[in-house]
Amino acid sequence: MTDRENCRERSRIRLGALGGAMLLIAATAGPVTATAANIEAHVRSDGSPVLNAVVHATRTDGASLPRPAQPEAVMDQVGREFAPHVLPVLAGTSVRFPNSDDTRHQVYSFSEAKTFELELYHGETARPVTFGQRGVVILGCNIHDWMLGYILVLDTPAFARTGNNGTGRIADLPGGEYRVELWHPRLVDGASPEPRTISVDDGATATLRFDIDLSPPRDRGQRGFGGQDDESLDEAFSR
Amino acid sequence: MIRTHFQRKLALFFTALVAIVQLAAVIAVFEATDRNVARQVEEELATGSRVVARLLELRERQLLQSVRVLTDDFGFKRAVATGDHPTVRSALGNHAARIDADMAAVLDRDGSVRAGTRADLDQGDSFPIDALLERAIQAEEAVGFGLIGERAWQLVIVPVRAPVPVAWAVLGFAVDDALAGELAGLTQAGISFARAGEAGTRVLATSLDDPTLALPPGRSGRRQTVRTIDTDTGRQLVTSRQLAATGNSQLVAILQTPLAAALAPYAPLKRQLLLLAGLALIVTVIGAVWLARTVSRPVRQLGDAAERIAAGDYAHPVAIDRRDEFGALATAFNRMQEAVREREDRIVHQAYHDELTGLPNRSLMRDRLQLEIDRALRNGHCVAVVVLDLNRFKEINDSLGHEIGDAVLTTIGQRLRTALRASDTIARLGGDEFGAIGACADIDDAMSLARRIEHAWENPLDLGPTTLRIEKSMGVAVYPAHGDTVETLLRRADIAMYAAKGRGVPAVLYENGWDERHQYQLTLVADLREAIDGNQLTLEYQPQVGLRDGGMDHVEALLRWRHPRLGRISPAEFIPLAENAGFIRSLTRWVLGEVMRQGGQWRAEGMDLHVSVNISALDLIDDSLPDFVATTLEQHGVPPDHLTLEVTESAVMQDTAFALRVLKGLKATGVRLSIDDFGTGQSSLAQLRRLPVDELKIDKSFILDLQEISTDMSIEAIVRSAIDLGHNMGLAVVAEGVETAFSREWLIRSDCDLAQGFLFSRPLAADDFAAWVRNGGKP
Repeated sequence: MTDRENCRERSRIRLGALGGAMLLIAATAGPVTATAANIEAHVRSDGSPVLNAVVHATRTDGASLPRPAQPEAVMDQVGREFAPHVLPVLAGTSVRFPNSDDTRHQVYSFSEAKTFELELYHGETARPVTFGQRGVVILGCNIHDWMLGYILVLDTPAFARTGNNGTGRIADLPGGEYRVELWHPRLVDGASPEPRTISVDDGATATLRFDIDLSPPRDRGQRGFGGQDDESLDEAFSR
Repeated sequence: MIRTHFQRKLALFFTALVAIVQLAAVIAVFEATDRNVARQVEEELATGSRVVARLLELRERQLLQSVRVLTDDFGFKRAVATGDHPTVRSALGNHAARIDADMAAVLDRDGSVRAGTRADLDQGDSFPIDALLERAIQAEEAVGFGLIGERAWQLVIVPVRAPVPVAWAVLGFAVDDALAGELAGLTQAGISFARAGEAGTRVLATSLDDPTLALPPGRSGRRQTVRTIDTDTGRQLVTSRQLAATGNSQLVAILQTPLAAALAPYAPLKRQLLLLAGLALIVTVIGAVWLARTVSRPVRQLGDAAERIAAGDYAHPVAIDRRDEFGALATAFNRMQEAVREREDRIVHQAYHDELTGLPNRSLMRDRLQLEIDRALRNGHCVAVVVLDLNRFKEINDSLGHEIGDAVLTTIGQRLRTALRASDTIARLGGDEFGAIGACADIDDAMSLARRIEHAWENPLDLGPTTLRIEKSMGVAVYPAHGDTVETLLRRADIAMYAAKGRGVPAVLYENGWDERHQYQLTLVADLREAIDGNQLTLEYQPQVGLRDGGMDHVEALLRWRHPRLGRISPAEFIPLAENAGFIRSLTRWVLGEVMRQGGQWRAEGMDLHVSVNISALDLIDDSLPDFVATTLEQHGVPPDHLTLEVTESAVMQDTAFALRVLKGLKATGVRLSIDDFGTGQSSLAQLRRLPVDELKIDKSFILDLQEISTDMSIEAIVRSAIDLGHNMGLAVVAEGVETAFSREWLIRSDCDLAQGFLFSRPLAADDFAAWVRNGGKP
């Protein structure tokens, strides 16, 4: 029992440290220039801002957007959760799976877009995984069943993930007309809303608003580590 | 028999009492047992129901845990997620085998079967248990019962996460006969699973041999109830538990126990109880019979004793040696028997003994005589019977008083007792009559008994203030010479006694013939009473002829009795009997009346006759006779001097003053008196002189002796003297028994006045006599 309490104490401390790291990554990913156009999506569900919704845009004229040569991304594991919960990447991106926890993880995916397994690893020892095919890749950890993460592999480099305020901003786009789509892991029946077409001028910011229906979140909790989980086990038995 | 009846009643009562108690006890125990068993079974069923629920719950957990293990397995997840169906199937099979699950399957998220262990779960089929699946979708996992086809299942459905749910894993146990059997083994009840709906109940699985035996679950309520149902196979207790419900149909578990099976273990107990009750009843019957006998045996003994006593046996006391009431009763009974014996002895003694003298009485004398006769018959000796009568005891009683009389009897009794041998019997027969019995060697020895009695009379009786001498008469009869019965011997001794009395001797031995004669005389006496009324008596007349003148004016009337059976009876025979029987008085009066009637008749016919007639000596104690004679004479118009009354010499000589007074009374009426049979009595001249008589009638024995050729000349002298005596005393003299001319001539020569006899005429009937007179003395 004392061991478990100690673990919990430690993980809380680590969670606070990780929040700072995420902010740093976001800042570096979208440098703001005065001439570029921006698309800002406000996603709400039942009037509440929706976190972890991904908006991505493509030019209606078919013109490709500039893409990085060696795109990379990081899907961290912090506090036995995937961080971020949803990671949109450009197809061909190499994603690293650093392990910030003191336990080993065994990350896997059986999704069609990318099936892989990372054998038990610790720290930065896991090899990066390149996601070439567009689609949704659902991540799990064979050690911690509740761990669930999504990597949304896109054809376009223009995407953004909503934060706690429900706002996702795709910045530094050349002006033009864009088709904007939205994805969220909990979309009802997996059905994305209709894509939007929007024109945006250089230096301007187009604002979109998405109202979506979401399935209620399934908080499966972290099994084996809390009284709450034990109670649910008892409930299962007493049924 | 009353005895048996009582005994049986007593035994029956106790037996019935115990039987009722036993029956009540047995019924109560059986009832209590049945009730307890029913309650026990009820509780067992309720417990069984809970056990079933708990067991199914445990199986559910087992399923759940097992399926979670399966779905948590990464390899399985991978196989499912990657569509590696062979692996999935083998994993399912492997996992199902671990817990003996009957079914395992993986469903797509939409419920279609992706892989399964059972053929009836075809790949691609939609999983049939929609309700359960729906619940799983809602709650991520579901457990419960469901139907696939006609089979019930206990199932768990959990998602396969990779890590999001990609499929459903299903694991299940069949709710089949094996399960029912297992549960039945645990609960000791018959277990059935059934689907109950509006269409009725359908049994899906059962532990019973025959599914049709499963009972309907009844209306399923929240409250678990145990119901009692009577079926063809007996009474059953049943309860049910709802396992699952969809719409209007439900899956229920039915628990049932036949009461008979539950009662079966008690059968030996009941048998033992019945056996015990039966044994107790038998013991009771034996005990009751024994008790009844114990009670009835002394009662029977007492009854037997009572009958013995009734039969006169007082010798055996009742032998009941007990300390209870029967013992007391027996003691009282014996005391009563003793008292009865004493009283009876006293009564018997009184009955057989004379109170005054203490001697045996006549009854006992008879008995003793009978005993003596019996003994003599065996031993061949004789028995002497003596009847003793005191002479003139009445006079002692009358003159000296009864006390002296009693003293005389008592003293004589004592004397007799002392005088006789111990083997002799002396008895008082009544009044002044005693009897004695003694064995004797022969008839000559018989008189020795009388002689021994004589010894008692040697001294006069000492009666305190006075002494007395009293004579007695004894008659002796001897067995077997004089008779062989008690009655005969006593009677003949009596007759002999009277003979002794008559002869004036102390003792007379009976002589054969006396009794017959006595009987004959008794017959005559009895007949004589009827003779007067029956015209059997007649008078005959014999002429008395005047010897000087040949006159025919005197006649003697003679009484004749023609007995209807015996013919003519002589007056010499029946007159003494009439005298002894006290009958002579009326006989005399009849004769006198008849004579005077005839005399009156003749007188009326012109015949002047003097009639003589005999009267008895006993007539001389009848002082009314003179009046009768006078009245009758007057009645028939007969002059008194025409009637002569003849009295025998012995009668007139017997004294007495009284007789003389009667004679004078008769004389005073004017009749003539004649002394009959003169010469036979010992009359003295002095006496003769005092008598008021007119005539002497010389006894015919003298006259008959007057023979022509006589050797004894004294007869003539006697007769002549008698004639002279009569004449000298102024009396007429009549000769009787004149049958020869010689005696007539002799009497004429001797100057006798009248003669009577066959020479002149035999006695004649009245008419013949009248004719004889008219005919001048010739027939």
